Order: sequence, then structure tokens, then C-alpha cells
Amino acid sequence: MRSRLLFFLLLFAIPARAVLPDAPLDDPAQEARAKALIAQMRCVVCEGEPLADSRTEVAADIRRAVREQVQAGAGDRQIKDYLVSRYGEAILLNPALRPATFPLWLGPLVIFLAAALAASFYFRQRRHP
Amino acid sequence: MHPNDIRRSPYLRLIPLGIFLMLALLMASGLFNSKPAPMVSPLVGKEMPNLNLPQAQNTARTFGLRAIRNEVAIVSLFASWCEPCVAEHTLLARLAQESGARIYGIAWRDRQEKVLAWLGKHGNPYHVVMLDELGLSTAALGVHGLPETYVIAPSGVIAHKHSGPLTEEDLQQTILPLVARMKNAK
Repeated sequence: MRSRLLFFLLLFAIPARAVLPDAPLDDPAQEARAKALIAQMRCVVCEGEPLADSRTEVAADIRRAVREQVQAGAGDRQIKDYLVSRYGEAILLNPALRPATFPLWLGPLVIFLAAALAASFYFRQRRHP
Repeated sequence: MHPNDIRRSPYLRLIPLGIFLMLALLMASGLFNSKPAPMVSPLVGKEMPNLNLPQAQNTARTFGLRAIRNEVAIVSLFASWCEPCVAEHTLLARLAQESGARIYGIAWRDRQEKVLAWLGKHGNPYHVVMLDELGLSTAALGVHGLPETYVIAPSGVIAHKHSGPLTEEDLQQTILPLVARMKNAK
């Protein structure tokens, strides 16, 4: 944990290196698709920042990779899977609904239903002493 | 038993309390978890991605990461501008010597002349040095920053990934034993 913290601190201590602005794709439809995909991702090396906003080199490289794959004809699902296989589900702002994330999505709902059920029993009991 | 008795059963009321207690215990155990387990990269267990890069010593020649096969190998991302990489560099030289594993270096977002000057100054423990000027390896290898170290199995599968500088402890506790295990399993 300490060495990881030190690593990140040292990374910020490295003299600032210019990150060139993204080069958009020539085809406007492809560029729009790439932007839409990028909008669904977070910067993996900055706390909570969206991928689109980050000025880090890693984020710039990931955005370029998305553009390259869009241009090469890869599908949205394919591109997301590519990045998730490298960075984990955490790269997606909305984690996919899969068996592994069912507890995350359905947990609150289940707890609410359990509470509602218990409450209904309580109130019924009140009416039929 | 009369059906109404079931609804009146005091045990039913305890169910929401039970759920709450279980959740509370689960979350409390997280509070006392003083040493969170280091995150394992999703790349562990997957084959080394296909990536061809020019070689730093002769950019007319390329090297493909998929060519790393039938040996236990280390892939190390570094750069001449990376301060923490200097300290790790001496460890890498020892790692190559003590483990017998070849180290393949990737100079990340760096320039040829700077890389060669840096290797001349600090020594070159790498079997091959690839030059990645544009950061093509970033998304391909799930790079978070520098340095990054990958241990590759003879099958080409990534057996371990370490983000950040390697320490003596990492070498002794994790990397060297892992390399030794994989070499013996061959």
C-alpha cells in the first residue's frame, strides 16, 4: 500500500510533459461513436475523473486506442471488452449487468423488498390482533 | 396451526433485523481489514497481447511480444524520464542474474537517443529493448504508469503484473519464487 502511494506521488513529481490534444477521426460518424464510447469510461489513473476530461498520458493513449479500434471497424461491445480485460470493470462508468455485478445492482432492491415484506406483516398483525 | 398464527410469529419480525445485522457485520469486517489485498490485474491469466514495436538499438527492426515463448520471461516498462525507474533498474539487473529469466524492456513514451543514453549510463539488463514512442503499449498492456513489470509463463500467459517500482521485498517474496516455480514446472 505504501509503495503504491509513493509510486503515485512520484508520478506527480515527474516534470510535466505535454500531452497533445486528441486527434479526432476524419469520419464524423466514427468520431461521434468514439466520443460516445469514451464518455462511458473513467480515467483509470485519476480518482473518479471521466476519461474524456483527463490530461494524463495514459488517458490520452486509451482514448486514442478507442479511436483506432472504431476506425478499424470494431464494435462497441468489443472495444469495451478489450479495455475491461486490461483495466477491469472499473474503467466503465456503468459496470455491466453480469452475474458478477448482480449483487451490486439488485442488492438495494432486494433489501427494499425484504423491508416492505416485513412491514406488511407488521401492519397486518396490527389489524388482526 | 391456524394460518394467522404464522403472521403473528415473533420470529418473522426478526428477519429484517437479521439481514441488517449480517450486512453490518460484513461492512464492519471491512473496517478492520488493515491490509487490503493488492488488486490483481485482470490481465493475469491472459495471453500476452500481440504488439510489435521497433527496437531501440535499431529502429529498422521490430520485435513482437508474442515471440516471447517457451521461456519464463519478464517484461519491464520504463523510460529515461522516469525517476522511480532508476532505483528499480539495479534490482532488474539482479533479477535477471538471480532468476535466469530474460528481461524484455519497453521504453514507454520515450525517444531513441534518450533511451540509449540512459542505458549507457545506467546499464542494460534487457535482452531486447523496444521503443514505444507513441504509447501504443498503454491500452494493449493495461498500463497505469511507470514502471510496470510483467512475469510471463512459457505458454505466453501473463503470470503476474506489478504496477509501480519493484522493491527488494517484491523480488524476494513474489517475483523470484514465482519465476523459480515456473521454471521447475517446465
